[in-house]
Amino acid sequence: MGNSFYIAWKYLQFYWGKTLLLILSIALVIFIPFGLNYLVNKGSEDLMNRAEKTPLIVGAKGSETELSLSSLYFKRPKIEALEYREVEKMKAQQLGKPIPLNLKYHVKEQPIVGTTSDYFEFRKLQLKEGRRMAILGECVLGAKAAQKLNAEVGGSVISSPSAAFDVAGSFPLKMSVVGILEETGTPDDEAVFTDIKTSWVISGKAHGHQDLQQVENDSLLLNKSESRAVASPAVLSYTEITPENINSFHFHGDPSDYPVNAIIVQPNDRKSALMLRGRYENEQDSAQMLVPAEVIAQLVDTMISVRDLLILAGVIIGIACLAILAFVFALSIKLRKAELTTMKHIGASRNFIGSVLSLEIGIVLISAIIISGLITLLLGNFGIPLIEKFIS
Amino acid sequence: MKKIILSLTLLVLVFACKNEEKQSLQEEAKEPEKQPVVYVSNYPLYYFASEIGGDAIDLRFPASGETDPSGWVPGAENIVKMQEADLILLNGATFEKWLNNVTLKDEDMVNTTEGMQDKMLPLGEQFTHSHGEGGEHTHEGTASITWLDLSLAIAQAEKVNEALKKEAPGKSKNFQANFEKLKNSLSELHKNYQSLKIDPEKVQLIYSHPVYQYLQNAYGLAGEGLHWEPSDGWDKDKKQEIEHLANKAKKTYLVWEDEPSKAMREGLEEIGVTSIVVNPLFGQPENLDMQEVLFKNLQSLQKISE
Repeated sequence: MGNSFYIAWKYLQFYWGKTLLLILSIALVIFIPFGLNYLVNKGSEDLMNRAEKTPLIVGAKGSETELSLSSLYFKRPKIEALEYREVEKMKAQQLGKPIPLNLKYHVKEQPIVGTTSDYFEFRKLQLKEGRRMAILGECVLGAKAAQKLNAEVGGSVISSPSAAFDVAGSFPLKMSVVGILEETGTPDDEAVFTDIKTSWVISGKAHGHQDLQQVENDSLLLNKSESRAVASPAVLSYTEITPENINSFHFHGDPSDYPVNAIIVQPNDRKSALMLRGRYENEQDSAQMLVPAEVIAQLVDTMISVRDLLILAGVIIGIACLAILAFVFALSIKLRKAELTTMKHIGASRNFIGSVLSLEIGIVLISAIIISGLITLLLGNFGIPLIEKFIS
Repeated sequence: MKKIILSLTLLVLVFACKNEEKQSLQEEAKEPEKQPVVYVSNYPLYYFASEIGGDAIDLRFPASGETDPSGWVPGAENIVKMQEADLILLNGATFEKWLNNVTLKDEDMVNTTEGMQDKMLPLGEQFTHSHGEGGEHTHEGTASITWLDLSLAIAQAEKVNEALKKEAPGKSKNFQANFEKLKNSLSELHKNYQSLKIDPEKVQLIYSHPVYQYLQNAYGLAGEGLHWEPSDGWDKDKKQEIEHLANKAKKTYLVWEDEPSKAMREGLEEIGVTSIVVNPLFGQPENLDMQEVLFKNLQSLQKISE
């Protein structure tokens, strides 16, 4: 056995190019159905896991998939925002805890999640260092966001405009980093968490500026009286919130009118969840309430249908490839007739020659299986985020 | 045989009783009285909470060092501590201007003037401004020194009592008894304030600051407001301003938050304006408690009615 293995190994080693090509081809044929199945199953599991941990979502009427994905994966919202009074209404109903999400703004590529401290408890997010946000202008970074933004506790990050041409709508706010979260392997790792009020400052709904009653530079004022001051556009809003200027920050209009992109709802119990869903189905015309697990399950069903088709194609291709492989091996034996005859002449038995050939095929097949397993594992680790990114 | 069975039954009963006793003792030892951590935003709430809660609560008043806690700017350190609190008692009526700038849980906070919107009074001053692309907007506040109307103060104390009872249900009876005591003495004071007889035809009241809206409204003590500090000196401008306001046909009283400077008092007396002090209880009073200050205020006002 040892001799047969030695000769088979030496043969494969001598023709390494041909052997490598054969191994890679077989590995790919095996990977397509099995790897794809694993990848889609793992991806679906992760998607469903996050969706199932989110009982209910409220958002403006529109695409349910858009609303679910933007709330779960912090995708830039494409549907209209709700008014904050929806959160207040839900609090008054006392059927569950509403957690608002404002998702319009980013720090470079990282989404800013304007929310309340309830979100940390809801997702069971633990701090790796620092503390949660306490005052306006503070933020807490997800583990990957901290790495990508190269930020640490005590440092700062600056919000980006919401769109390329939105140079006046929102203004860059320098936020202090007060905490960094433990890595969770979820989209929370990528986010910049801040209080919802800070996200309203970014949007320009709230701002701070010099006290116009105290302004001494006349060029900053167009008109001033005891009860009225008209400032020139030269009076700029503060772009950083500090202990010195924090009291100058004020909200314009009624905060109940301010935008909220989505509301995660933690119902008190099953009955409360049903009552809330019933109310939204009957009464609401501008808002919708959905169960993210149901929406994501539909999405996963679509993915599984596509997967099944691909697996079927993979199996057919695999059978064809195996037939070709059998043919290649048969031809190879014919081509090696002289070599095999020489082996016979020098005393090799029929069984010995058979075992050499079988071992050659065995080594190639086992190597191919190992490689396809490695590709699957590699994609299992790095491919799931790709699938999530692709979907969201 | 019967005797043996009887004595065995007795033994079992004695052991069972002892075990029950032990169990209840263990249970008592297991559940030590939890002292809820309660934060308050101003002195009147501190007073109500301490009178009702007593030693059963861990009461904290982080703005106690401020002359005017409505202008308190809480640092992140204070807010981090408040995030750990069981209860945060707020005055509402725009008293806590810092509230918009902090991250605190709604369920931990109790606004003691919630549901009294119809009784809230405007500040009486508004400021309109415009800048940048934002357009013109007006900032108008609500008067926040609500406790000077003692009917509102009692209602606020009741909210404090309800919140404390919710936080420590085991102490409900004590809290209720303490509240009743507080309510009775505040009601007595309220009646005395209501019996003040100041004839607006004969007496003119001017207030050094526009902070007495609830006092004026509740007890018929209308008057105009200035922006004078007790530490201000007496000068020509001040004389002109007060002469412009004072009605010579009436006896004029200037109501101060604190004792005015000697020069100011004498200057005012020269032109026939008498200074009286009505402490609006902005900060924690020295050596006196809330009711004592309110009683002192009442005595000052009674001098006018005499």
